[in-house]
Amino acid sequence: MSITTENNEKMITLMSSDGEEFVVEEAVAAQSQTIKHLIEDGCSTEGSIPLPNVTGRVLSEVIQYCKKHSSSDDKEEKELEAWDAEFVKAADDHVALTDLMMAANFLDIKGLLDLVAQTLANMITGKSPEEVRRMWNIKNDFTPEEAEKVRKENQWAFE
Amino acid sequence: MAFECQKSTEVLKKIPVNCVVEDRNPKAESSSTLVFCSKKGISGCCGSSKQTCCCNGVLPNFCGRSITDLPAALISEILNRLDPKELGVVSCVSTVLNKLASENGVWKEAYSQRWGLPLLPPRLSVGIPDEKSWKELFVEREFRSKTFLGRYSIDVLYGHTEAVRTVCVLASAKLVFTSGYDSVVRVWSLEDGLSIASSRPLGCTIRAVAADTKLLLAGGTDGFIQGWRAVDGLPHLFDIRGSEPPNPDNEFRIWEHEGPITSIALDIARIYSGSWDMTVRVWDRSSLKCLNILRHGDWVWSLAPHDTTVASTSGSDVYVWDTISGALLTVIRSAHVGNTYSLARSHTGDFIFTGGEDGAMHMFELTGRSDKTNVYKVATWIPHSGPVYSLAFEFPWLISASSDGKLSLIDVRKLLRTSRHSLKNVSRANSTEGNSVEPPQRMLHGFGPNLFSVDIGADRIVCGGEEGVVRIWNFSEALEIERRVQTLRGIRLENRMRRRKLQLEISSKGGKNDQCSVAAKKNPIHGDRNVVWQNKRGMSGKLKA
Repeated sequence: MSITTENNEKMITLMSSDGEEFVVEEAVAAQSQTIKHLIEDGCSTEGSIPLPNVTGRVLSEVIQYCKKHSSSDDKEEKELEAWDAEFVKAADDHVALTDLMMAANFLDIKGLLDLVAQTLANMITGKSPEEVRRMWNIKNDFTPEEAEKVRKENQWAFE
Repeated sequence: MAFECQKSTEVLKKIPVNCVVEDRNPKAESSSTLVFCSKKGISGCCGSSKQTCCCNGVLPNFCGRSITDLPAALISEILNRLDPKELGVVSCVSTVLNKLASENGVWKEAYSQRWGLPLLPPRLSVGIPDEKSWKELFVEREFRSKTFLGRYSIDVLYGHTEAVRTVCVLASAKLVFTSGYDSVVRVWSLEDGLSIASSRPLGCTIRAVAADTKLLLAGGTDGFIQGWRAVDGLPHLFDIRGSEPPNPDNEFRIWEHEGPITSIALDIARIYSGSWDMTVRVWDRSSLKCLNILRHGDWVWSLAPHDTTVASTSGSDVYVWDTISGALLTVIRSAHVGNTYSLARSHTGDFIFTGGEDGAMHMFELTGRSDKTNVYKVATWIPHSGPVYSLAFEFPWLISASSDGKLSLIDVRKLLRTSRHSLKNVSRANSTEGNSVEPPQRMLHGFGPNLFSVDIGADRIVCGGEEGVVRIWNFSEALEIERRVQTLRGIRLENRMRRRKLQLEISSKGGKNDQCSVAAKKNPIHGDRNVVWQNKRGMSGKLKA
């Protein structure tokens, strides 16, 4: 079901795992290497492209990102950077970012993957292990002896 | 009963209170059940994002995920963007992260960025590279980098009859090369400070010496470059005594500069020389043909090649050139008031350090690629009251030698925020200012004036100057000494505690007899003290040796 709009842009329909449908321009969807390959293989001609690993909420964010990045060219690099910063801020908690990262990985969108990975990395900067655990809800699964040993090994990082 | 309810996780997941209701019957147990179940329920609730591990299979897309539920490859993707230090912190978080962080390729990258690849990578050359050992290597090196804050011993090398203009450390061969106004190049052992060999007088002042394991070069005031090739099987690499007439296989001289040579450097393929004839010449290492002439507006004082670029100082300016095309990439005008005498560069090449006649030192960051190179001033130091004649850099230490007779030691670690992956303008937010003056971490002084040249390698600092002697500050024992001092401090503390305890015991008992025992016991304590003291002496004796 490929629709052609007035400016001759081919439209693609993406379907999220929870059944939501998104109609986007091909150029936008093709930011994702995965979708691009699917289109090249002719999957888009009959009906929508199902994306069983991505929920509607995450997919809408991803599409937002792709739209922005397909419409602006290199000249607006500064502006784009600022937009990216806002974008990850909006997704602010780590759960949303993790979902976004999984989606970016599945859809193979390098720019988004980089952006999210960098954001998550920045969250670590300047934190203690305890703070990282609390922030990301990670269980401390070291035995006391292991914890002691690991702490000793990495003592230099705390000075 | 309570445990039954636990097993049925489905019930638990839905409404934890349920199980409490169901389990009402035995009154005695109910209270404990309640506590137990509700506890479980709470942890289930707040762990909801974490729970994905279990519900992953069922509802992969509706639950949020925690970082640790990401595939290892994606976690590594995040960790790749961290500093080694942050990786160290992360590896303390949990077993999964520990494993991933320890195996990460960042360690190798960070190591080679700071110090280059080690000469003999342990276990790495054979078979699959053992990533873990890179972390160990890195941590070990990082630990050792504190060494210049510790105690040192000094070796004084006598031999030159006039002022020493240049020193060069070849750490891999444990050799030091020096020369100066007496026109003789001398080779010394870095470890014991003994003289190994000296050349015949070369006929003019030698202001520059450079060496690697294949080639030794000296630049003369008459404008020639004197070179020695390493001789196979010779423990000290070079046969600088030479024979009469000189053996052309081992020795050569190239004449092209029209003025005194002030600086020489080497890399794998090329030789670089700077001169008061206002040029830097780039030579092919094997053919000894001049490949490029880089023309400056003033006398060239110093140069530092890296990969495809070479930085040089001329008058008060700093130039950065593309080595192959000979194109000028950028110029820092009037980096210093008066001449910019000295230059050093980080192993990555993107940080350069300058020292000037005004006694100041600056740190600049070079960014961008060949078509557009930007320069930012990162920091300034003014530890000297006279011209800074020489700089040497080995991560994280910048060492300067000045005419005021002092050496300053500067730890640049906190200025070198690794900006590899971070968004560019973020990392440079605080560095664009660059106007604040930073203090040095340490000064070494108490020698004659006019220190002309300094180099660094293998936990040692080597410096030469007007006095005509070469000094080696040896910090290689610093960490061991520090450790010993700390154990001694521990012993002393322990003794003090024991004495105090003894005194308490005595005072609680009271009585005449005990007073005797105090006197008796005092002596052994004193004895202890003596031991400690002697130990200390023994140590400082060693230190001097």
